[in-house]
Amino acid sequence: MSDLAIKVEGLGKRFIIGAALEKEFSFLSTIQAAFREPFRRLRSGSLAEAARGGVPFWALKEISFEVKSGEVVGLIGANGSGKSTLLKILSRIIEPTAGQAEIYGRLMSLIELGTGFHPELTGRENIFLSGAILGMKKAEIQRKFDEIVDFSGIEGFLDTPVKRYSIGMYVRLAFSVAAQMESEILLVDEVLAVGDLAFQQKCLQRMHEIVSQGRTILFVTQYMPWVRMLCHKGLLLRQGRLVAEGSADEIVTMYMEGVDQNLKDITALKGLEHIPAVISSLPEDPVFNLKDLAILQNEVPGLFVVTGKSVQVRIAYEVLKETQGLHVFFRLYSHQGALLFESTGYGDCDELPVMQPGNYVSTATIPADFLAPTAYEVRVGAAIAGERMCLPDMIRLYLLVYPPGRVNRAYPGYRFVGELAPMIQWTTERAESSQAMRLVSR
Amino acid sequence: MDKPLQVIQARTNGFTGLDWQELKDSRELLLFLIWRDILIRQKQTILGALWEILKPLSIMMVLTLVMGYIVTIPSEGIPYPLFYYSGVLLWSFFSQTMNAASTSVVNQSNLITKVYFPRIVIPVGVVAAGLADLAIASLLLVPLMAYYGVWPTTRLWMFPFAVALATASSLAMGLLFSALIVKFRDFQNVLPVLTQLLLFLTPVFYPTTIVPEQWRLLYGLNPMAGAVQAIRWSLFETGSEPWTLLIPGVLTTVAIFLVGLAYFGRSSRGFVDWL
Repeated sequence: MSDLAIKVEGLGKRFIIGAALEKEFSFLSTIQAAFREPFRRLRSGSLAEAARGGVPFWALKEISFEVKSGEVVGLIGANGSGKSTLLKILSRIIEPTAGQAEIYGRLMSLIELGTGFHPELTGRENIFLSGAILGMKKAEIQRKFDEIVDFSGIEGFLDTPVKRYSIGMYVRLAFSVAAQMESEILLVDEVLAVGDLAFQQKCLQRMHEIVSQGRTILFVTQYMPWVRMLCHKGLLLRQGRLVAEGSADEIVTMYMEGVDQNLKDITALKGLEHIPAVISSLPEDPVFNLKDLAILQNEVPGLFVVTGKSVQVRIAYEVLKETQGLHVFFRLYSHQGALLFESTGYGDCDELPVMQPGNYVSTATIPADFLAPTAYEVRVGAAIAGERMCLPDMIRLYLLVYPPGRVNRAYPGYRFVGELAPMIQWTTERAESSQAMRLVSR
Repeated sequence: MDKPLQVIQARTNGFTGLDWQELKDSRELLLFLIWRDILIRQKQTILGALWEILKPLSIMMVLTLVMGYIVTIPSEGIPYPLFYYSGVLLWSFFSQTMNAASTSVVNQSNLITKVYFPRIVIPVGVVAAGLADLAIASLLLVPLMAYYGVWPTTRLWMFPFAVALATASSLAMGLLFSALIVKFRDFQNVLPVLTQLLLFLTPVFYPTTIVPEQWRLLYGLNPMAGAVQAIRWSLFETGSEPWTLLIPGVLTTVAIFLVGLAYFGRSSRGFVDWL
């Protein structure tokens, strides 16, 4: 298929580990060992390896998969599962012991931020050096120089040696250079987990831009929300073997299920785990008993969601007595605290309905193509119309909405404004006559 | 199906395991690394490039004093300062470059373990940066020769060849050692001893004429012997002939170069496993 980007077949990597693996192992001892145990040398095929003794350890075994052009694949797995090794093999930093990989297209990899940076050189000099080491041509770097400086925000410090930079500046500069890599295939290894929140937002935005350029990306990360947000496909590695291949959501779920219950990856449930504690601390109400509360997207609970897909607010509660006008509702606030809207559990009605005792689950669906890629606050409450609130304080949840879903924007790279991004219908027609240009008869 | 642009496999094909197309594409990177090395040496120094002249100059002055006036060794009819400067010039280049190239791969492991590029760029870059230093240091030859009224003859054509021989031999040793040292760190201990040994076997302190005739061919197996002699022959009319030394020297260089290149090329893909 001409739209293949990466094809991996039976890839494997074996290391020798063990107490005998001293780097200071001398050449003389190597010769001695070769004479003493000639058969070991013949079996392992490498004089240096054989002489050191130690045990073989397969970091990767029989890895086979395909990545099509334009796919964004998340490579996930526990620490030590072989993700970085696989990436390094595909980047040709490490040589495989078995199998092969075929790469169709120019490939660049980002294994570490600041590769090639030298502390004595200035920011300007390091931009060129790092860019060249990452694989960019001098002309390319010159062309993108201004953009790199702009993105990193270190304009005033361009001619200061990098050793004087704060960690934040260093990381921003390193990322800005790396973010300019323009190859059809990009491999990224967990470099995006550094920096403060503002920086991470910038990273994510840039990653989204890169993703929407249609490039093929292989992405190693531990941060599940990003896998969900950015990747089409997922590959799950466990102890050096490819355990599963599927859609990003599927693989993330599998990974999290495989984790010990106590150590469940909280990143997807971030913020929601404190709900039971909050609920149990609520004062008792004669009529309304809140049981559980969650925000979901694609039936997956979490406070990180993407644009372009609907978001559910789900409330589980118990009604204790027959009550007229009892309803659950929620309010959406902007991250600055402005109330955007309120939505009630029984929608628009003229007469107050009556709720019978029993257990209920109410789900509110915020439509797709509505929320903007920004932060919101969701406040959930319950009330008896015209009388009182059942929950003294509304329960607050912070909702972070990210690209890469659909959003009402003018062009790629458009800096989003406003609090909401409803997809409004537009039509544009050529005006047939000057009559048509007069819109209102005045 | 499109032909894959890159096939990553367990074993390399070819004698040297070097991809020539890749090397051509890495020209720019090589230049950047050389630029970086030179730049770093200038940073935080007062005299910057001047040191490249001061270093051989100071050695030359000590040698002139000791060898010329205290010990009094013949100098093939060449004024002492010129005799020693020409030797020290080329020898400093060789010894510094060979040592730097041999440890370059291990020293730049942080780069190699994070990005792919043809590893040979590292030692080559070191040698090229050394050439830049040599160029600066050679500048002093001009005023020195003018002072002594010694003018170069048509034999000057030999100068670049002598430099080329020194370059090739330091690169050859550098390739071989840098690859060896990655796997067997104790080879680092060999370097200072080897350097010292070669220094004594090179006509830096003394003229080749001191070496008995029947030993000259053997003596010439040290490529630097021929190189230094050739430098003196090219610059000064009274320098003795370099051919007896050059022929074995060139052969040694070619041999070590081929071995070093092959070994480096084949083992470079596995470097990261040992770094």
